[in-house]
Formats: sequence, structure tokens, C-alpha cells
Amino acid sequence: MPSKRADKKDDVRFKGFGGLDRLFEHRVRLAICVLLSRYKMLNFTRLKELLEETDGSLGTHLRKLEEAGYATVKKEFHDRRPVSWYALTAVGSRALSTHVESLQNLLRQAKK
Amino acid sequence: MQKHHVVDGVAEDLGFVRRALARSEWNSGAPSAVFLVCSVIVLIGFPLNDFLPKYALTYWSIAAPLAFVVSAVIGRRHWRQKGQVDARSGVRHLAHWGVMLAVMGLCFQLPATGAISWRALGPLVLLLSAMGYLLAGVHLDRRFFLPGALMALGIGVMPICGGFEWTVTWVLVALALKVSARVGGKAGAVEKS
Repeated sequence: MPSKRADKKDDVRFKGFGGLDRLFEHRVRLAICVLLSRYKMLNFTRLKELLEETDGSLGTHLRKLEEAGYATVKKEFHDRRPVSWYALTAVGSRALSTHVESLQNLLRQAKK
Repeated sequence: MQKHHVVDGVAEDLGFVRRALARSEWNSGAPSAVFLVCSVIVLIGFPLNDFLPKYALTYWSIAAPLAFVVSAVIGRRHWRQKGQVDARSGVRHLAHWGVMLAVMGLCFQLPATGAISWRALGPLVLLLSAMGYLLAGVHLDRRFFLPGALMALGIGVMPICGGFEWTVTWVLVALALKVSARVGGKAGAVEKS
């Protein structure tokens, strides 16, 4: 059983990760932004396939990213069917870089 | 204790992200239809060099740029239908094949200025094609490697196939392109399943 003192010590060691973004705390949102930073655009069906998520769950995550201004959506029709294309915004790209940097710091400190 | 929980959670999340990224890159090369276009161009063009050489120059100066444009359109359509637009990869493919096409166009300057004979132009273009395909196999899509290797082999067998050197090379390259297209199709089927 770790002592309270040890936990407090850990808290101190893990301070200084202000760059960690609450929106990326969920791995699906993190994965969406990483994928969108790798590709220029991905549509809803492809994201669903890659992340193995349900329509409802993926839609919720994408809406949160849209509301935060991290992702944009462009709707178009293909064979009379609506297709939603998602892309990462400059704000989203900056937030992702900061978050990844903070994660690296966190892992580096944890190794010590 | 808390530290381990945090680190385990982060590692698990990063594993999830890495798997999604790997799935997106699986079979992300050229669509099989591109290999079929190349095989059709070669199917007509190489025997033409043996049997109707006077039309070969005209054929290649039209067919090669046409194949480039058609392949680019097929590639773009394929990835848009798949729902994944990879601008970086598209530019890389366009630059690679565009440069190869431009270099081949410049090759025609050599016999025109008398630097090499017209007879030497064919093997030179085949050599450059082999290099282009081999490099595409290394940098863009592994499936280009086999046709490139067989084109290079074609340069070796040319002197011993008196009169039918292009037809022999054609058989090898067309077979390799068909195999490459099939490999792509199977990979696509595996991905869908």
C-alpha cells in the first residue's frame, strides 16, 4: 500500500503538464485528430472503419471536436448519398502538438 | 502507484491510436486498376516495337502521358471513394511518375542530336523505366518492385532474343503487372473482411 506521502510526491512530479488537453483525454478523439493530421480529409465511414466505433459514438466525438473548433466538416453528395468529410483545423493541429508534447514529457518523467 | 496507472492508461491510448493509424496505412498504395492500365499500355507498346517499329515512337509519345493522367485520375477517385484523401502521398506519386515521364521525354533528344543511335534509345528507355519502377517499389508501393526487376531483366535478355526482345520483355512485364494487381486486390479483400 503506497503511503500518502508517496502519492503526494507523484503529484508533484506530474505537475507541469498544462498542455494536456481534456478533449484528448478520450482515446477516440485523440485518434481522430492524429488521423486527421496524417491525412488531408477523411470521411465519416472511413473514420468509423478505422476506429471501429458505432455511428452514434463517433458522431458525438466528432461533434465535440467541431464545437471546440478542432475539426471542420464539409458535406457533399456522392451518388445521391450524403458524405461528411472531416479535416483538422489550425487550432486543432496546434492543440494536438501541445498535447503530444505534454504526453512525451509525462512519459519521460515517468521513466525517471 | 498513481504514476503507473497514468502511464498504463497513456500507453493503452497510444496503442489504440497506433493501431488505427496502421489500419489506415494498410494497402494504401496504388489501386489495382493502375497496374492494369500499365499492363494494357505495355501489352500494345512492347510488341509494337518489334513488329511495327515505325509506329512505336508515335504510340509511346501519346500512350505514356495518357497512362500518367489516367492513373492519376484513377488513384484520386479510388481514395475519394474509400474516404481517405492523402494529399502528401498523391503529390509524391505525381512527382515520381511525372519526373520519370519528363526524363523519358528528354531521352528522345539524344538520338535526335546524334549523341546515341535510335536503336540504342529503346534499351535506354527500358533501363530508365526499370529504375523508375524499382524506385517506386522502394519508396511508394512495394508492388512496383517486381515489374521493375523484370524490366531490368529484360535489358539482360534483349541481346539473346534476336528480333523479339521487346515481346519477350513484354511477356515478363505484363505478367509482373498482373501479379502486382492481384496482390493489391487480395490485400483489399483482406482489409474489407
